[in-house]
Amino acid sequence: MTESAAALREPWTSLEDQRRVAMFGMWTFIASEILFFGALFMGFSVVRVLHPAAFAEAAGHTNIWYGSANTAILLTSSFAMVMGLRAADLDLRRLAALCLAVTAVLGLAFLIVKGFEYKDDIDKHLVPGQDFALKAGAAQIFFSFYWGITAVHAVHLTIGIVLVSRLAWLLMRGDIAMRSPQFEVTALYWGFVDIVWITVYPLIYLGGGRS
Amino acid sequence: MSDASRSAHPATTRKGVAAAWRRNGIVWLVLLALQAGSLAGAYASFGHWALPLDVGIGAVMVLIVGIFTMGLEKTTALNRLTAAAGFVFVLVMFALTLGDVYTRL
Amino acid sequence: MTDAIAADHPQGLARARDYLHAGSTLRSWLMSTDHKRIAILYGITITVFFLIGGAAITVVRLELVSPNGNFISDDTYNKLFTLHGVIMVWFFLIPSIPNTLGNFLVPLMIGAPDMAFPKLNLASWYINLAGGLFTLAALVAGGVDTGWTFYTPYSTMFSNGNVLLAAFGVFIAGFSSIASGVNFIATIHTLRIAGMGWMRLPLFVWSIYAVSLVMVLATPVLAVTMLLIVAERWFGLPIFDPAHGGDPLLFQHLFWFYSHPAVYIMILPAMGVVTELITCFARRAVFGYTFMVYAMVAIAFIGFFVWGHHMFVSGQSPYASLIFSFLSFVIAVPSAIKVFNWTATLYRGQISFEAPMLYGLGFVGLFTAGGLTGLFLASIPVDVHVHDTYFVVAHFHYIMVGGSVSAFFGGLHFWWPKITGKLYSETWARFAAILMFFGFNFTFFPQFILGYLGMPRRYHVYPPEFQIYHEMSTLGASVLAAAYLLPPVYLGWSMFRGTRAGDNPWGASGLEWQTSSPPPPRNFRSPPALPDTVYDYHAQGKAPAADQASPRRRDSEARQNVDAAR
Repeated sequence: MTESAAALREPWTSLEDQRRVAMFGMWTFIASEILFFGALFMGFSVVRVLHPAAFAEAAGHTNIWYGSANTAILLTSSFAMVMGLRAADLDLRRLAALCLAVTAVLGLAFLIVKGFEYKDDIDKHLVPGQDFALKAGAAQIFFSFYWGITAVHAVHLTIGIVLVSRLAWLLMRGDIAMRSPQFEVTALYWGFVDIVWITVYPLIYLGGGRS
Repeated sequence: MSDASRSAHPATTRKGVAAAWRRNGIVWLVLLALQAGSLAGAYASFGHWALPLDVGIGAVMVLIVGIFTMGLEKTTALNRLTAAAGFVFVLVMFALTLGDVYTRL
Repeated sequence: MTDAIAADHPQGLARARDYLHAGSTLRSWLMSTDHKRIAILYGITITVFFLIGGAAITVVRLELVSPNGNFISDDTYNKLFTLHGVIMVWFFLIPSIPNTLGNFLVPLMIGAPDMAFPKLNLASWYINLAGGLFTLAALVAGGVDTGWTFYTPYSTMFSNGNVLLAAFGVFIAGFSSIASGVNFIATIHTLRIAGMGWMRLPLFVWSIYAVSLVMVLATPVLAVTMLLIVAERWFGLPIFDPAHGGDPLLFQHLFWFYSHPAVYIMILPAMGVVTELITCFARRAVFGYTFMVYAMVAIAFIGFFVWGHHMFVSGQSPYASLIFSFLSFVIAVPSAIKVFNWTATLYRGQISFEAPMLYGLGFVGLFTAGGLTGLFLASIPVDVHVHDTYFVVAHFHYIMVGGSVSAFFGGLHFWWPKITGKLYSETWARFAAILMFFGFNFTFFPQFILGYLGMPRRYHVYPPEFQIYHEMSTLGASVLAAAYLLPPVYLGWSMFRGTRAGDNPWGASGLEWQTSSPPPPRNFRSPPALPDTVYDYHAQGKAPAADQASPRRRDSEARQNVDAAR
């Protein structure tokens, strides 16, 4: 009872109602986010339709190993996230804290790999501008979208890492009710960031003829 | 989630955790396998089929994450509808814009 | 955690007689999570933005009196009309009705104590304010000359203005829209009083629901568009640049995917307000409630399919133009249904002409004119002739100013007694309403003629034969400006000197009239009683009972009877 009361927010009188509306609110926000990333992917697709050859060539210059490693890292982080959620459900505070901590660390690992990839790209002159490495004009547009989309995704992921670390920290200190809807809502957001990357991966990394 | 699991016997909780590891572990392995498949596909020459194949595998992975990781399987019909609305309007945007791009004179 | 005020004065909140007296410090306003106080905060900021945007266009209108442009430079002229557009669209029209009247009324109308996410509600105001300040900073520090549409490649490669700051401000403000949209949708889904089904919602609540769907699904695309401008301009990433094979039309697709539905963000809530006004002052249940609901949802939905009619002369595929033209005609159908249903609601109604009703009736006429000229523009051959002329300017001002702004003023007058607990001077209010109607037509009707004769929009100098129409327009604009300045005076006066309003001065049927004026902090001291039907005025085809007439009309009839008896 007291634990439920601690998680209750205005203007709700029951935690079940609050959980229901929090989840619905998050899903509504995710619908909005789908349009956000959808618009970026559409911009990418339009130019790809106009310049297929240049885009294929440019995609061949992305670093497929960093991209693949990051995909696997994110998929694993989602596994940890769901387990954390389930553990919170079963009232297993320590397991939940551990899983969320692993989730956050994997998120951080993604950003570190991304950092190495960015450095590699910069060394190879893959930043659009004067001394861009590839000849075709549209290859610069490919890399404009590459930098834009991956950066926006990284911002989303960073927000996710902050949210998950906060929950893990609160769990370790025992400062959060195990029944708080925050776990489910955060897990939902994390899953969405994962989905975005799953879409980025084939569009950007696998588009080049590597055979 | 329910109050039943809260006051549950330790043995029931253990069973619940084991079941969760199994279920989510399988989902995780399937996703990794699909990713490996699409990566391998990038090195084979599928010609015009490369893009539909990549997008197809990606779509399956998105569905799996949506259904199992994000819990679309057990959420309310309203939440499913909300998620679907996002995709429907992205489709509208793609259809009408690409309709212009492909038929431009 | 409990909200800030409750934490400060847990006893005071429960005891306060109304929301205006639930704390008088600046902090109690700026940190309030009460939807009514947040509505007032929004009211203050949109009024300031309205004055800024209005001042800019006043200078432009004065300048256009003479064909040669004597007072300001071409560059200043461009910056002023851009300022007008950006401020009016994103910082006045989009938040106007949803975030002031909607924020105040939606929880009251559905019998809820607050919005579903009170803190998010406050956050959305701060985000909006931050976006507004960024945009204002851009406009003060050198200005922007791209027009409100930010078309590439001009905005990203050639303009010397502060496009970056302005685009970033609009980007930020978008998230305020999304937050409000999520909040309204969640509130309307989950906080309706027991027994209030979807088909018993007041149509104003339905309009806010429909508009929230558009806000949630369209605004993110605007955010991306602005982000890509920032990427191209600041980071030098060539995204739309034709020299690299980029597609400027892609920018227009993305921009109008948001900005056409945004027109419906501006007009749908106005339709909701006007339905409340017309039913109350005709003392009639709305004609065809179900179809009014379907029409609104249909407008919100089809609104996503018509954006290409802004691009008929852009080099877009003619096949795409054909489809967009057809779809634009389709969306006229639900709009027409609404107009017919409003007029049918008036039929055999017991109409009285209080100030809010004058605004409401003005809306129906002006919206019809704006909508019908929209059909001219939806047909490709006519659009090719009048594209980018004053005809277009007149058309969308009929919808946005004649429609939305009239409805906003109508709603403000209608609910003023509820918001402040005070009655304003009816005579002055009617005078202002009539003046606004004439001033508006005087300003914008000549622009239809101007455009049809070939005067392009956004031009600083023009051939002398157009001067007479520009002079008429400017003269009308002065009348309009006077009509806009009147309400702040007499409404402001009423706050201090106005007579106290009862709980339900208009004898209206909505739940918001069952609580006290102004409402207590958590809206209802005892749960409101749901009337038998939504719009519980006298039924179709039946004569009204004596006690169903509007209170004011009853008073005046009683007075006449007394006079007659003498």
